[in-house]
Amino acid sequence: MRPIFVYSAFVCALACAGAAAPIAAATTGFTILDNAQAFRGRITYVAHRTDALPAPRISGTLTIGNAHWSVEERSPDALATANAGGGTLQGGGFNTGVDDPLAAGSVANAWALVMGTLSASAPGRDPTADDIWQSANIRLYLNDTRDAVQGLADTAGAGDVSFAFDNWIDVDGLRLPSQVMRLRDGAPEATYEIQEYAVLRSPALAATSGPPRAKALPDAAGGAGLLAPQPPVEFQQREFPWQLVSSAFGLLLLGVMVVAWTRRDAFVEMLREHIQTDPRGWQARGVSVFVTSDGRLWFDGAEYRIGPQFFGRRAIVQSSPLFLRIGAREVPRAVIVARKFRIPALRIAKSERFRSAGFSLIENIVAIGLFSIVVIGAVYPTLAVMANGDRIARTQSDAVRIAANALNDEEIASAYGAVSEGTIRTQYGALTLVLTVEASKSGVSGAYDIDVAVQDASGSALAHAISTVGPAVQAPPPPGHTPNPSPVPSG
Amino acid sequence: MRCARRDRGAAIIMVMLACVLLAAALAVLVDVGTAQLRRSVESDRALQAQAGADAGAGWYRALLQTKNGDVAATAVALGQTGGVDTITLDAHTIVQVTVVPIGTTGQGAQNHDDLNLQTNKVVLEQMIQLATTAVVMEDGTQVAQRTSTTLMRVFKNAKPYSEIVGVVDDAGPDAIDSPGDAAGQSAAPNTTDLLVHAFSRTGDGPPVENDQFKPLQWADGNPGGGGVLP
Repeated sequence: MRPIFVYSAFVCALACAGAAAPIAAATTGFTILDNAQAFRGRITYVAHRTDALPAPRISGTLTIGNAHWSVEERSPDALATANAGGGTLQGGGFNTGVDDPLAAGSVANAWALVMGTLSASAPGRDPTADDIWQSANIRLYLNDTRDAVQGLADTAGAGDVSFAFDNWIDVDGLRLPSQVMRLRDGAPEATYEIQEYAVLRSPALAATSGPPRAKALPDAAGGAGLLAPQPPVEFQQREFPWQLVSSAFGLLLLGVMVVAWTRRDAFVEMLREHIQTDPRGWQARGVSVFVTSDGRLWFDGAEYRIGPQFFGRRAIVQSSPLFLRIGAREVPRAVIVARKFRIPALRIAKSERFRSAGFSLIENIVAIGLFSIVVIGAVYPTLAVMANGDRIARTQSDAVRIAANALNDEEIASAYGAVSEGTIRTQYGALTLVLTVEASKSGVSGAYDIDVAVQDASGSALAHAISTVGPAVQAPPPPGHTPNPSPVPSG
Repeated sequence: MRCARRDRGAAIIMVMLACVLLAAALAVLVDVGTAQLRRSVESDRALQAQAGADAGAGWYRALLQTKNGDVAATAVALGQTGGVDTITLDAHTIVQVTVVPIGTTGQGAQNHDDLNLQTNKVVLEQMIQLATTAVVMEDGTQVAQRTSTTLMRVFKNAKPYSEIVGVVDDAGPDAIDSPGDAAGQSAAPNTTDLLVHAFSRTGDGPPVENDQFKPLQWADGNPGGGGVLP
């Protein structure tokens, strides 16, 4: 098969893969549920208990396919698994089957089970409230802003087991909880911190869930057990990777051209044989050559060693673009060798042009072109840096100074009294200071992040720093103040 | 013919030498032209490292608050995170902050600087030092580092549970409430070398300073001499 056909087949395969199986998803209208429902791939994480010791490292893996999902959590002394059919718990020499992994508490990250369940069973909305959704035996409660799930209840058994989620983080476009608390009969039973999320999506399995369907909630009141009208089915558009394909095609074309250039003599020979008219037709039958006593022959300017058996005999050379076939009537076996091509540089070295004094027009043009590239590509940018470097540096130094002052001021201001959250934008000439104080992303209560960024007119950050402050202390009394002793209740 | 080839070779070598000379000149020009730019970028990274070192103390104080000022419980909470907090500045830059509480000494009552705490016999105060090291990583490469040592008072079961007395870091004095040059020291139990006022009180009487500050002298080694501690 010719290379171009192989490439065409490759491109067609890519195009078919990109256009195959449009993705249909029964959306809920809430991103947190839709993304969890549509996810296909693998998520790994690490969990620790935060409310009790010891807190061993629990390594978890959630795998979701179109027809199967599973959760596996491995700690130093136990291995817990869960899937649509239940789960297992291995440890201490026992292997126990678990009907309801959520109620058994064998799995730390309950959200992993939620994602698996959502992938297999489309959630249905409670007709009485739009923040309550049910999927299989899991009832989900959305928060007020509907951008996170604040809790779930396990409705599989009679036990009152529920989970609370907090500190949602965005990992590769997927929102995942950093803290999971398991409650039994309304009382906290275990709290886990989930870290080191790693999301690996499976594009080949990209959600191809079934069409939306009406679904009855187990405890829905009266005839309202059917779902409210579902949003229309949306097809996710996937763009064909034109840039990647074009780049691959360009590289392939370049490679073909490079190879063709090194073998241009063969193509020229083919073309010459194709178009020339030779009434004798002897070239098709071969060319008679002389072979020396030590078995060497010269053909088309190249030397070949074919063996002394052809010496003194009428050797015939039949040529193809890549091989030579040497035979003689008196020699029982013909010899086929790879065809040699003269190196272009050597041919140039022998050319008359090389032996002439001075440079040719082409050489001069190439030299001027290279010099121009050097000047335009190196000298001009250098001059630009020389002209503007100090000015840019001064601007950035000003930005750093403004950021340092703002950060220091805000740290001191947040140290006493109370921490004021919010964003303040202040203009300093062409620079804009953006100061943001918000609850710390570390998730620790009482910690606040101070984010200081200084931007230029185009919005690019010239200086950026983030610090964290703890809870503020009582403001110090004014100078000369006489303290009035008064006990305070212990905290 | 040989002369012509030699001339052509000499010309090519001369052109190559000219290119090398031009490249060297350009390198010098770029180095000189971007010196200020490099310095400003390093200043930005130093600011990020200093902010990260400060963030370590803030993070630890917040942990203390969640544990009601219990240093042991805070140490457990800190250990569960490995004592490392990661601050993400952008897609390429992160700051890794490592927090290590060191030099914890005994704790007791009736030695508080704050009068409200002093009159609350339940409160136990403890002095600790906190070594925080912030490392700025850009695409996985360390570009700046800064270590600060913070002297901190911790009040068990009394809000706000902690208070920063002073800070020194390995780059220069910063917010030192005590004279002397404590900069350039690495974290150790006595790194901060800061002194905290202590008071005692009898009944409803006024607080009486109960420390050895006044007879202490300070000196930083400069020709001007030191003096009495404030």
